Amino acid sequence: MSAAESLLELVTLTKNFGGLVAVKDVSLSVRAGEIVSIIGPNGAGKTTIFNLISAFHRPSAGDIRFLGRSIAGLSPHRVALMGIGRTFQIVKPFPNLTVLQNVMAGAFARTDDIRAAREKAFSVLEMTGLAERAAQPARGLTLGGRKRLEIARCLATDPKVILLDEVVAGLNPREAEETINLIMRLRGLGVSAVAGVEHVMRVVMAISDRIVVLNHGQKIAEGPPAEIARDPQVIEAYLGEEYHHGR
Amino acid sequence: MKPPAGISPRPPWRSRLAWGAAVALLALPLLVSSPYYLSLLVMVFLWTTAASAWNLLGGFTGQLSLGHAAYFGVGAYAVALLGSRFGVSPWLGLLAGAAAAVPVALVIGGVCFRLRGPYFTLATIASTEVLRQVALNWRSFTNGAVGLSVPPLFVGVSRAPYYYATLALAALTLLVSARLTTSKTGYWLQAIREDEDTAQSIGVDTARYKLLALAISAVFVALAGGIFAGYLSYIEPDIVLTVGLSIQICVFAIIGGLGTVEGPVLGAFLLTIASELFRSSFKQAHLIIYGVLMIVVMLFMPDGLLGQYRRWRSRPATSPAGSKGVRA
Amino acid sequence: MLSFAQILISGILTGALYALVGIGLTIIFGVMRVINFAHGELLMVGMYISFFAATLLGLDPYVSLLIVAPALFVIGVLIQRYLINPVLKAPEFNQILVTLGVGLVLTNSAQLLFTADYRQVRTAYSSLTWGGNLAISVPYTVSFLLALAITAALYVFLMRTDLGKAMRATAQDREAARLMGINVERVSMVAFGIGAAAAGAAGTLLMPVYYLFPAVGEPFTLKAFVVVVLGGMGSVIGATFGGLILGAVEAIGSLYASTGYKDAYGFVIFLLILILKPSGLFGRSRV
Repeated sequence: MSAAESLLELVTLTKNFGGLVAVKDVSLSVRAGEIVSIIGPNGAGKTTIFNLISAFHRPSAGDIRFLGRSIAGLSPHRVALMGIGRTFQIVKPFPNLTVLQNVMAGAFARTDDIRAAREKAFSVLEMTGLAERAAQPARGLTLGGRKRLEIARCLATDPKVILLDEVVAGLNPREAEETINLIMRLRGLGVSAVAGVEHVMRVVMAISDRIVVLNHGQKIAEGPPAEIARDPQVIEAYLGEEYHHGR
Repeated sequence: MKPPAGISPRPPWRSRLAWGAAVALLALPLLVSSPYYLSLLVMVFLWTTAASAWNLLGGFTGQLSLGHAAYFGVGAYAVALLGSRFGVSPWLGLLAGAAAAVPVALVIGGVCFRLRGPYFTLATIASTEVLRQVALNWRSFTNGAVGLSVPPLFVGVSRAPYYYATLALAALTLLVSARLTTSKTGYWLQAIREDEDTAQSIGVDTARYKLLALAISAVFVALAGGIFAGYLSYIEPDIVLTVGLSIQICVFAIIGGLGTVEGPVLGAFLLTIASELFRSSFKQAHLIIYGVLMIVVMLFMPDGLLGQYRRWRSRPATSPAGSKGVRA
Repeated sequence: MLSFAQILISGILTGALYALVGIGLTIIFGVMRVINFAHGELLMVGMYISFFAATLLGLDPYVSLLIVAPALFVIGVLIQRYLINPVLKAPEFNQILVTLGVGLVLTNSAQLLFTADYRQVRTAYSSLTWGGNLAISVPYTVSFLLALAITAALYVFLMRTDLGKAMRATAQDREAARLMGINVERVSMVAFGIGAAAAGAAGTLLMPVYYLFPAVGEPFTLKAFVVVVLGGMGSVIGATFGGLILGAVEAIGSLYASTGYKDAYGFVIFLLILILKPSGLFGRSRV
């Protein structure tokens, strides 16, 4: 694919923590509207990649380009305002604010007007199926609800790409399915998604345009889901774990 | 569906109550001539101002500053020094103090906000302590521990002008506080309190917003300090620049209800009256009641009186949106 | 040059007391991750007990250590059990406020019970000196040596005894320690007790050379923070050096600049360290 098409591009991205190499020479390109899944066991470097893209960490080497310009070294809020949204592996809703207020806080990234923010928030809540919980404090939601709220708050900032860290981990099958459906709908909005997933799941295979497999901080495979499922390296890395149904 | 409390239109009885209270407060000095009660209310208004202003940073933004005496002191010393050293009108001194509080806040904030949690709190204490040492030791300018006499803001013995001035200041602070809760800034300050990383992930420049909250907060505390100095007509470092004062300011807000508009008013009112009642039996040790209340509130109702009331009121129904206190 | 040596020695002697206050704070922080904002007030309580032991029972301040340390240990245990433990899982914000409240209650209770009067215990050796021209204060020297001895004893306790090891394990990982079968609640109470006893002991050691009033503890809380931040939170050895350094800096500062700013030097260093090297001069970096 040509560089002009790509929205987000990682160029030989590397991150060391002291002597530990968390991410090594990872290159990746995400086009507008594309859904890319990064698969890898816990500790494979998924969260580090998300932290690098969203500028919570600085790369040790390599570059991150968004809309054709380098964003390495910017601060997290700048990157967020440019259109890179993220959720956290350990969900971090604003517990003492209501669901609506959580999402409005996100909507204020694009407007200073409270009415506009509220309208935006309500439309996102409708889309994410949280509307009837709008007045409830976020701390009262179930884990599934909190994960969806994270996505909703992120969507309210009008991101061009959304980074979903461990998007289905810990969810029951029904909640996982709802979340997957939500990700499917992002495509319709023209929002790209990069989803971090721990296990090779059929549903993930189904919705992803492309799959990247990480092991020990390095990319060991990349390609369309069908190809990845046949990749011997992947099968080896996930021996006995391939084709998990949603847990 | 019920809209959240912060942005709901007020029920009519509430706005009627507010108007009634406003009229009563304005008419009060005409009915009550006792200087004792008016003085008490002047202090209530000053503490309301300081506590509400502190609450912008401590309650809404979640940054536990125990250094707000610094801004109170800057306001007080501006009036005192400009008046006694340069013959400047105390009103100009008041404005100068408010203006000076901004750079002081930016410097202190620039240093302290690099730290989080208890380290931040410690740093705010230390920076106030440095200011106090300067005020104590720069004798040629500040008169050191001897203190300074302060030109009065109003001539005459009547307490009424101070009553109206402090009432107006308190009302202004509350207005700013109330406006903030329904604005982008207010939402983003609360986002910082709830989780700094998440706030950044939705585009909040947390460093800038924290400084903004501190600066606004400092201006109002400095104004309260300036009026306090003129009212007392005498200040010294151990009155206006102590950790004890910083603690007092935040206790009002915490006991009333952190991160709410009305909490600090409630706290300032109840505690000023309570410490006045205890003053006769406890003499200088009346601050003991602050300590006891701090422990009791933190152990049993970390949302403060207002939060506790809201929780109690809404117990049978689904939990309300209003309480924003810090809790486990 | 003589005055420099004199001042430096007196600074270092005082520094050992700062170190002891700081060690109490650092043990409490290490085990509970709670910063005790009432630490100076515990020192004040120790001083009052020592004072009354001297005036009512005629006990020498150094002998009163034997009363003060156990008394403060019990007070510390009670504070931990009833006030700190309930907020251990609450946000730091709440913990800070509880310990601040404890400090306010202690100071104001002292004021209520004993008035704001300044008090002092005069002993036969209060103004004795040794070292010829250096004129080093005898009581400061005795306090210095006792403070070092207590510090060493605490260090051995933490390193060699089972309880000490349990405390260190709890400090490292509370949950893992619990899984290992350590009674972390009991360890926490002991830790707070020892921390309080260390503060009380430092107060007692100050008694022959210092004066006493209800608010005497306030600057010591801050000094303890400075010591601990200098040495790195949670490190006993770091706090020892932190105390000695703070004592020396204060002394030298008051010699070359102004005595009045003595307290400010510590805070300026404190702010600089927090900003430049938050893990302390001797500490490993902590996340």
